[in-house]
Amino acid sequence: MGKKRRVLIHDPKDNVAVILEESLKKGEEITVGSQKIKLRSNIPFGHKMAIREIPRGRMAIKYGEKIGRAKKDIHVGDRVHVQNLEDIVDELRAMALEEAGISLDSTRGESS
Amino acid sequence: MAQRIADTVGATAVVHQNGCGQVGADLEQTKRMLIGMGNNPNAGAAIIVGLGCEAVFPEAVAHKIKGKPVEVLKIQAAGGTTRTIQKGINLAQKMLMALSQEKRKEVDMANLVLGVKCGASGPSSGIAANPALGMASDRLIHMKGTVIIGTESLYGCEHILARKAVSKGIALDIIRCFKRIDEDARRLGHSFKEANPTPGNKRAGITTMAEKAMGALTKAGKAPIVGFLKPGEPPQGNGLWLMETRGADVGQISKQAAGGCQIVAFTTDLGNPIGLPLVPVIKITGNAKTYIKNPEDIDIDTSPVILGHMKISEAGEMIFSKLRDVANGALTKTEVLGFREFAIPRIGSSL
Repeated sequence: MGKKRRVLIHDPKDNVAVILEESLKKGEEITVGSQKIKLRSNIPFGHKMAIREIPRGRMAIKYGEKIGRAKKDIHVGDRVHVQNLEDIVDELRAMALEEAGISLDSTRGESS
Repeated sequence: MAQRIADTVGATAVVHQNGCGQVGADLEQTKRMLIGMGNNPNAGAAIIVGLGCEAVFPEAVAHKIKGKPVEVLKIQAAGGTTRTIQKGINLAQKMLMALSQEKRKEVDMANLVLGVKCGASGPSSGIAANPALGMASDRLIHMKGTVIIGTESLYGCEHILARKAVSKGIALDIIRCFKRIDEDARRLGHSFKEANPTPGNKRAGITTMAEKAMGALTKAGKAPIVGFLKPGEPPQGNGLWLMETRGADVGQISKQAAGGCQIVAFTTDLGNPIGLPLVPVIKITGNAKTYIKNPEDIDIDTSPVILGHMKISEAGEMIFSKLRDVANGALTKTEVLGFREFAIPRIGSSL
């Protein structure tokens, strides 16, 4: 019997999956839901693999939320990590203010 | 001195380095932490030991501890160390004799205040341990219990925290808190972003701070945030509360204990041995290697989730059962090994 490859996807909106197998190698094919994905690089345990295309400038989604922005085009099967994903903490901060409908500079702290 | 008294009678000492040379908010925090520990439901009685001339008056602390016997010992007034220790032993002996006669009474899980914490995190934290703890947390909240999560691991997901807040006022408090953290760091010439994710995190596969924060947030489950607490401040009501906690792991769980947490559930990928005085710490890992290497430091192993043998909900059940057992008196591994760290982090300079 073949060894079952395992990944974890936290949320249906996610475009990355977490590798749960040790030492998966470039070229290996794993099944993710209804997709068969060929790894485009070695991906260690706990690291992320793109399960959908993430063009440069678009967001990686994990836990159903934006976690970072693609620095270059990311293809299905790519390892997703510091080499191609940038931190967007400042943007998320701005989002927090916008979503809560509040301005920190306003004297009443209430949205207008 | 407190340790000497405690060791003689088999009580618990809460020792710290602060109390003088402090002003303003820094001083208030020290007072609040000490009062909080005295008021923690796990403490049946309290003896406050002080020098007698420090800024945090022992009486000021004692006065705010309610619902249990409280005594004050001042070294200068008592006439030196030996006499103080002897007085302390006499007082503690009386208190312990009385407490030992108390009968156990059955109470609802709604009375439980649980602190949730993650430290020495790695991919297993965000995959197994934290989501499993989150399920247990949700269950406790569903039973009208209380959960306190600290802010320390959540920098990067403020927008989600603000969205979970039940009121705009709380959302604003949350966002202001994280803005303060940023400003404090910048004043010190440091970028919070630079410190996180740590090199260890990145080696383990966590790429961005938002990702790390989100993985940490799962330990609080899906409940809305009903309020925002200062460090060591007790929650006023049940539900999920967010407490401002900064600095190293010890200070963070100390604040949760001071806030009234009777138990702290601590998830860890790589392992962290710290415990607390007064408050049992349940250690949970999702990393099989960690559990195999140090089983004596870990209470719950959720790695079967990662290996495909267990559902997250089943791991959550395991944690909830352990929570109930510990609330009923079962000892945690950290407790048995006697690790009891306590720290009141500073928020100002010494003067």
